[in-house]
Amino acid sequence: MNEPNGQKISNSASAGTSAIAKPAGSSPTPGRPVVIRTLGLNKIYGRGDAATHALAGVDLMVYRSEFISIMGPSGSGKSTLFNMIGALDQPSSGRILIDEVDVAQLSADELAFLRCRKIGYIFQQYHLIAYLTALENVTTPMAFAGLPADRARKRGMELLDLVGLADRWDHRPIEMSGGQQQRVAIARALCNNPMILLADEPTANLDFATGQSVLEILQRINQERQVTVVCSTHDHRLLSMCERVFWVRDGEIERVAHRDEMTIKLGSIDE
Amino acid sequence: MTRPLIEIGEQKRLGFFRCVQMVMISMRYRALRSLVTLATLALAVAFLMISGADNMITMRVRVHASTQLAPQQLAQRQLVRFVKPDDINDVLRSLQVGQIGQVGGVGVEAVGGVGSVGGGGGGAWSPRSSHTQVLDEYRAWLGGDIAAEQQVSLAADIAVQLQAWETWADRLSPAARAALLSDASLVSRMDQWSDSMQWERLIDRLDQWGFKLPDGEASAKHFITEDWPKFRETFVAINTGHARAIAAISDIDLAENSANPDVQKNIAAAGFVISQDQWTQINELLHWSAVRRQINEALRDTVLRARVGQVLGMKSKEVGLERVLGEIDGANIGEVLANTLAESGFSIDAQTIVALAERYQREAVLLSVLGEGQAIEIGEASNNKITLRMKLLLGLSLLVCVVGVSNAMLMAVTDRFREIATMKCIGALDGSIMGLFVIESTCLGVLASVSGVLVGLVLVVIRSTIGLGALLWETPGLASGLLLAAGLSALAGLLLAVLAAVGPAWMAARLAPMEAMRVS
Repeated sequence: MNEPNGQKISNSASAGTSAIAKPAGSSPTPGRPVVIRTLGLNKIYGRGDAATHALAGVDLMVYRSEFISIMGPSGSGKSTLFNMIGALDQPSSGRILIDEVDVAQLSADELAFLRCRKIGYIFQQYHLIAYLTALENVTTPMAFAGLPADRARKRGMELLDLVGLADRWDHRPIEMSGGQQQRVAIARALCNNPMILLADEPTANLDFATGQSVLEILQRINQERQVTVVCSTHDHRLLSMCERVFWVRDGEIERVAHRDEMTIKLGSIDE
Repeated sequence: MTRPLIEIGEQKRLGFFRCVQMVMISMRYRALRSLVTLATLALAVAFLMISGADNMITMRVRVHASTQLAPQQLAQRQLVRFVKPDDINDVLRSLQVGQIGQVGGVGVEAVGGVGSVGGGGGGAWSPRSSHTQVLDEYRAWLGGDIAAEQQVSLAADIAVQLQAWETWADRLSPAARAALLSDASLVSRMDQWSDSMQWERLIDRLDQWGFKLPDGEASAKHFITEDWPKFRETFVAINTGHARAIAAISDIDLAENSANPDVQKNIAAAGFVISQDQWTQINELLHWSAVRRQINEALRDTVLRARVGQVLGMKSKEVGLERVLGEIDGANIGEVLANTLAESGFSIDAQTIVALAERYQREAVLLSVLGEGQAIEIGEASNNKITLRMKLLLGLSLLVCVVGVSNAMLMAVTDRFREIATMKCIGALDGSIMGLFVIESTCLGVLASVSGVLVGLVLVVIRSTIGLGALLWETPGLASGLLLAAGLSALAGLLLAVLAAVGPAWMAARLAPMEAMRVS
């Protein structure tokens, strides 16, 4: 019933129930399962007169090994949507399904499992743990996943090498530049081989060249490891990398664009 | 069904060793902050330790001083009883304590036990034995037969009932108490009320004020109109007997002959019950008061006063027995003083002077702890009870400890909500986060408790040593008491630290990661 290119679902309530009832059948492209699906997602901060609708009925679908961008001006609800998709925050109403499993149904421990091994997060503010070294920051999720310390260290060093920070493994976040911290965060996000990589404005605080290298890493992970990547961003360089772009404005998905159409229209759409 | 892409499994909790490792790294990173928290905790524990240990020391030292001084004060009282009959309050108290000693006895005996441990010098003393002696005397003066026995036990029952009345009257509001008793004591009021006319008026008044009588009106009436006159009768009989006994021994000069067995036998024949230990005490008391009289006599002489003043470095006007005794702090000065006295024709040897001075100074220290005439009362009242003032002080310091510790820990934890949120984002179980905070707060709590207790211990020992000197160290049960105070305050500090940290950490850990991030 939905368009294969994942256009905005018009009637969220009715479409939502049927979608849950037949998850496999509702997938428009067989062999390309839906990894993330949101149904009528609402988020309201504050209450009464001060209430702001950060999200107002968002429905979207992300397929496996897709590279998705969420774009929009600041304050449009990008980060909120990103947090919801990552099961980091609770929606005021609506549902988030990750691999057709309702996140709200998961226990605290199952959520921790999900966040630890299945989703990797890269935050705009990096959110590294201040007192741990780069290597310790990378190995901590592996410790949470129960990996022995020596194997975690070995893998941590490999990942730091991947992001080009092997020689800085014993530096604390405060001793590193923004780009370096961001790359540590990427290494941390990858350490448990996640299925989904969520990146909240991964290039926002970085200079052009560093941003470029971060994006290359993301693209490589997407292509080599079939990891689903969702970026919230307003960096236009991302547009050429991703399959689809969700434009968010005032808490709603305004537009969904496919790469094919975008490359043609790029010049005229945004500037 | 297709196999799900993402299988949700069970997340493991972070191991203990790994938690400790992370806590160590974290604490080292924020060393200054941890140190400040630690210091705050330690101060709170030290404060608790000081007030707790101080209360304990005061209590134990008072009990100890009481067992040291009581035999002597008892002997003093006995000397008075040889020339003056007990008044009604003395009789009441003796009967009450005797009765309680026979019935309940726990508290009183406990003090007796402490006495026998610590009171080596003064011989075994316990308030209970002294009171059974007094009861024996009363029996003897009432005639010494079965009827007397019954009369004494009846009087004791009545005395205990009066004590209940007294407790009741004490609980009234000050205004109501004043209205009920005016200025008179309960005993003299009881005398008035036991006249039946007075009883009717009392009932009227009590009704007016809305008082409830102890044990109901009927039993109160019975007590006032029947029992109290009986008690009065017994008291008069005891008093008469006591006066007769005093008359019988009036021609004995105790100061000269108190050690004479015949004299002691005569006194016993008059009905006084004095144990051998008490005789020793009395003899000693008489001996030393003779010495004091002698020195006092000598110091009347102005020339001698001037010379003694020269020796001790004080003005001749200031030279008095007590001042002189207070100044003697060794055999040398005693020698010089003895020589000075000898030159003026008074022969008291230096040893005696020094011994008297030591006795005097020790008594002064004990009295400074107890207060005049308090030793026997403290011995009688069960001493291990904590006074209201102590409770208030302890409660207050506990409150300060709670507020200080919670504040310190709360600051330390709320500061780290962001860190908790990050940990949750990368897959930490609530349990793992709690593990980190429990271990960290336990480390802080243990370190703070130990250092706080040590600081408190040093301070309290210094303070008490300055205040009490040698008396502190000879007090029995001091170490165990200090250990108890240290243990309790350390435990309180540790528990508070852990609870104050775990509370907010638990709150933060249960929130969704981004909610916790927003709180910070």
